[in-house]
Amino acid sequence: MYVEEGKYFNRELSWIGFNRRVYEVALEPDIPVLEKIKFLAIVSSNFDEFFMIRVGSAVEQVQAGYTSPEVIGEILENSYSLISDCFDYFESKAVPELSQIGIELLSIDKLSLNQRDFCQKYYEENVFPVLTPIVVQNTSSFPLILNKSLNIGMLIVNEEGYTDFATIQVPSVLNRLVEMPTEKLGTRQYIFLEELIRQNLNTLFNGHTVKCSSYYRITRNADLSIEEDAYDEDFMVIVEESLKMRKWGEVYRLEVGKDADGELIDSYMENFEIEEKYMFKISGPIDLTFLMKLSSIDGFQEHKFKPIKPKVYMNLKENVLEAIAQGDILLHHPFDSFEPVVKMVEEAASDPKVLAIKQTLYRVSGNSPLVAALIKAAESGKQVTVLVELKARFDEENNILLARRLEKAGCQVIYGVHGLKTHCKILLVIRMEETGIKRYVHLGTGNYNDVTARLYTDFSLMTSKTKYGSDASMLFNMLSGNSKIEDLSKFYISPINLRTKLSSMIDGEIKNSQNGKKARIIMKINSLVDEKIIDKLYEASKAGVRISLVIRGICRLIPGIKGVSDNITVVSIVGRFLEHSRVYYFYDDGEETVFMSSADVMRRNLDRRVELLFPVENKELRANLKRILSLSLSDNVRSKKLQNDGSYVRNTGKSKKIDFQNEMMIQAASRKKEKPVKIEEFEPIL
Amino acid sequence: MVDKGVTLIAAINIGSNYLKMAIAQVRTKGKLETVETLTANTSLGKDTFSIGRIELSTIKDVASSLNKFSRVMKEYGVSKYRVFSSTGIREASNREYAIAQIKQMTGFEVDDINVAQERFFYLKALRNEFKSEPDILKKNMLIVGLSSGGLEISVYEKGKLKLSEHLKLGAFRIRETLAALESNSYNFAELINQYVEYETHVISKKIREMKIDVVVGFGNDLEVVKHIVNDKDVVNQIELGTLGKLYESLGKLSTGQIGDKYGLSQKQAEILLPTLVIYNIFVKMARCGVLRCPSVSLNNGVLYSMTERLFKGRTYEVDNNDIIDTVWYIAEKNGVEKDHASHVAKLALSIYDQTRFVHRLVSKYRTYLEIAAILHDSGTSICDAKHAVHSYDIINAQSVIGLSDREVGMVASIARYHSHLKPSMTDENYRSLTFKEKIAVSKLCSILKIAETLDFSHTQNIKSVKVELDEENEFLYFTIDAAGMTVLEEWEFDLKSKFFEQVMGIEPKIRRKM
Repeated sequence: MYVEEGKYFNRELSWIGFNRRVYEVALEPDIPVLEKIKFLAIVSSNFDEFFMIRVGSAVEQVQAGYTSPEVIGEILENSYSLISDCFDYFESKAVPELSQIGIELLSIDKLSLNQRDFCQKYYEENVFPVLTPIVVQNTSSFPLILNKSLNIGMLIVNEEGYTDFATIQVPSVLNRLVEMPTEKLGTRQYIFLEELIRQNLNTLFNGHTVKCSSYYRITRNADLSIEEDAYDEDFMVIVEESLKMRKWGEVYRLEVGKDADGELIDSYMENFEIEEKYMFKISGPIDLTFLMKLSSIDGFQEHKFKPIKPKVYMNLKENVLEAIAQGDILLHHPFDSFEPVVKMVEEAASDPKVLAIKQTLYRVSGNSPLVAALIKAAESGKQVTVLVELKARFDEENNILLARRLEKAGCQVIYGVHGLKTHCKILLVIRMEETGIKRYVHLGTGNYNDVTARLYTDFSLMTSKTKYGSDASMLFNMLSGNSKIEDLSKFYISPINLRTKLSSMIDGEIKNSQNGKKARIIMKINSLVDEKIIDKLYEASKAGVRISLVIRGICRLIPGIKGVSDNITVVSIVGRFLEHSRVYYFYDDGEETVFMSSADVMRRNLDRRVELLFPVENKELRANLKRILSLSLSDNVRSKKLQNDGSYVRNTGKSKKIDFQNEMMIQAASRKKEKPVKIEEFEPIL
Repeated sequence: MVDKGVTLIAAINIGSNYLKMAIAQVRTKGKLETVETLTANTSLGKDTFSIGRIELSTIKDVASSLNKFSRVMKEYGVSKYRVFSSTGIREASNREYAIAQIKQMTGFEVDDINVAQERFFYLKALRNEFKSEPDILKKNMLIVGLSSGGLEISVYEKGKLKLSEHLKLGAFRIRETLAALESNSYNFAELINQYVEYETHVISKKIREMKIDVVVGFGNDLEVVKHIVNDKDVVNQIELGTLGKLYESLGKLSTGQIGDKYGLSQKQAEILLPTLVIYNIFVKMARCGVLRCPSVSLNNGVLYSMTERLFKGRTYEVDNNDIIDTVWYIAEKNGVEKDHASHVAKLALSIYDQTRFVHRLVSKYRTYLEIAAILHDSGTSICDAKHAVHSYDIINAQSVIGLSDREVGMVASIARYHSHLKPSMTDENYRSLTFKEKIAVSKLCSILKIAETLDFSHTQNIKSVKVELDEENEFLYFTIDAAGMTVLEEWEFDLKSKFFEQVMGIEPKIRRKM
């Protein structure tokens, strides 16, 4: 893999490597077929975002001279290779396997007469009315082709023999897969909508004949740069304006069907002003994200993962605030239910003793019960402050609507600190009790999203400790612009002191190691990109500190370089659930300090976002976290180890198979009451 | 629904660099607990210390921050609050306009407190902080309070104030003053050191002559130092060696490097060096190895003061001993004849207490009278002939702990009219008083006039005085208990008592105890 400055993997190539690991999960024999296609859909969707966000930025870096031009070549080559593998797998394995379980993806020529009749009727009644064919004549300007929309491009010849380019968008309002009536019991048959349209192209252009046609799709640069100098104006309006600009972003990927005619390809390239290297010839249905929907098809339960039954601690079933008052609570989602977090807000909303509720929202679900509870609280006269991050990528429009709803209900909606995205996950409930003001705090590593909380692994810490409460108040005061941060007791906040704290904790381990003391660092994060922290970890490795990193996604650190990173191991777990929790462990001369965080180790998290790092102080909870970390390091089923050439190999070595996520599910299922199950059989951390 | 056993109060300090709000809850027994603190930046100090006046944009920013504070107060259901300003506004040429504009924009009435009131609140906060170790207050203690705009130095010997000075040597002020020299200086740390040593050389001489057991420091800027010394635990004291080492290591760094090294904002990094210099110098000066640094703030003091009012039923917040100690310190500095001054004060208070049914003044005026009585002859150090007017000037220029400038002005007026002078609308100091204040000043100076006549010979012959009405309620008899001749006193009494009659509406008569 391309190495920068001799010591960092290229982040884009590392990202592609992560997606290859996601793809490889689909190849695992024990994964049910409807889950396999989900992994393909994830890779497809990830690549969309990659081309919208990262490629443009990588090109700019090359243009500015920060990166070598060969990097772009390697990025495109690796992307092409992985995308090709996905389509090969889809065509050669997934389609037959789906067929075997009774889900058939047919081409039109395989349809029965009845089905053809159905198709024609469906086309005339449902499809034709929503089609908008556009002919691009030499004199007319090229129409706006929407980012990520699937289209059919064609060359058409008029009666005078002139050839024009024409295009038609495959309507996104209709299902991509059109279900066919079938008499085969237990079988569902589908054709692709685009194929149905292509079949009828000649009916769309009177006086023209279609010379050739192909499917195509473009991906535009959508890295939204918001003009924050104008922050004093209505920020919501500024974001809305910027969103409009996204539609006109530069094209960084053109996907075309493999059967596309050369002349047609030339037209695409000319009109989208794109170089050939950014063109991907696809042998299969362009855009595999439709597989996400297909994977959740009704029935076929035996071909899906067994549904997880998240556990709710007994004491959280009745009164969450009361349970928190009894002592700190740690939840590991999705094995522990997210329900108590929702309940915390719902209880607060209807509790007459609650004075105020404050919460950050980054990405929420469509019908978020949290939002409903916040609205209820505001309507019942409580002081409700909600930070809605309008700049949450691709959720900008949703969040604008959300902000308006909340404001209408009487919530004080805030947008955070000028120039910084607010990424921390924090909820604060202020309650007047007999003994005075008491604050209840929820701190998370993942979003307040009840839907993704079933798919992502994250931690929640709930506490009513005074210092956490006052730090939480201070953080909200900073976010509201009411106050600057001073004298935090427990929290470390980006971009103020989170980076410094992480560095100083690593320095502490270096010092201890140099003094002949035990030293140990474990980080479980999603991405390790920041060069300063990577250098610090190299320094620690050189000083003899044993460092274990569980990094799901991008890792720029190169492990196992002699004399530099011999003491560092990096593993990546990619499984049923998206590993999303961020935990930092330091031996700390026997103190065994454990932090949880909303932040990954990326420059943007440490310098350009409001993020939160907080210690877990309760001994029992800390022990629990250590056990979970230990278990994640012991995984030899879904875990792969990063080599110093950038490749990942399965993390083997033990005869007993340990699947981290599976073990967590088993433990959650066997948990009866408050006490977590001990995990003694796994290798201890030290 | 707010629990009735808990009251939420707030104090807002409009300082030079920061606006700070503390919200506290007070339980029925008067136990105070801070629940939230807020801080907002302000350029008040920058405006005041550099151009002498506050820009409108700065006032608007202050108002905006105060309105945000107000929202948080509302969240907690704060029922009582006090908004006060210190150096940043105090020294601005347009302070009255600034205060009026803040009121217009926020509805907050800003109390423009003086350095003596600041000292009073800090002392109150310190006393509460040291509740758990009361012995410390009985030791010889040097208190160094550093704010952005000024430096408060006090020395207490066994609980009695022995020295009190306010120097315009705030950390931010030093930085602003020397800013132009920074880029031309190879060793900026040393430059600051020299500057502070020069500015403190007078007080340094006095402190070196004293035996100091404990040095106590406080102030926002010291909190930053404490955080650097140990970011894990609460720091209550810093060794001199640690201060020195920190100073040495910072001296070599630029402001940017200091900020990066310790994760400080530009403002915090800028004031770190002057702060270290000042504490280093004073700890060395006191020949102590340790700086005690409890976490006290002006807001703490104000909140304690508000709590006392709420739950201890005290109508006047001042701890009288602190005030009178300060006044005697001023008296000594101005060569007041102690025997005469203390005797007049004693007689004045005695008359005040015995004539409550006549004057009907609230108790804070008793303290004003006592101060005026102690300092009534301070002007003799300038010139005997017009000593009352000079006393007025001297008192007016003082910082009396716990008293606002207006209150000090009233005390000065009382002292001014202790001799043959009478309050007159031609006097600017009297004319500027409100109607109520005019009445109070007149009543008090009429008492002081009589007390002063009773020791006219400066011999303390009249030991005590008993004041009572005659049976017909026609005269007020001052029955004196004297050891020797009192001819002069009685003669002077007849001359000056007329004013008492005019003010109080009853004719005073003097008689000797039989």
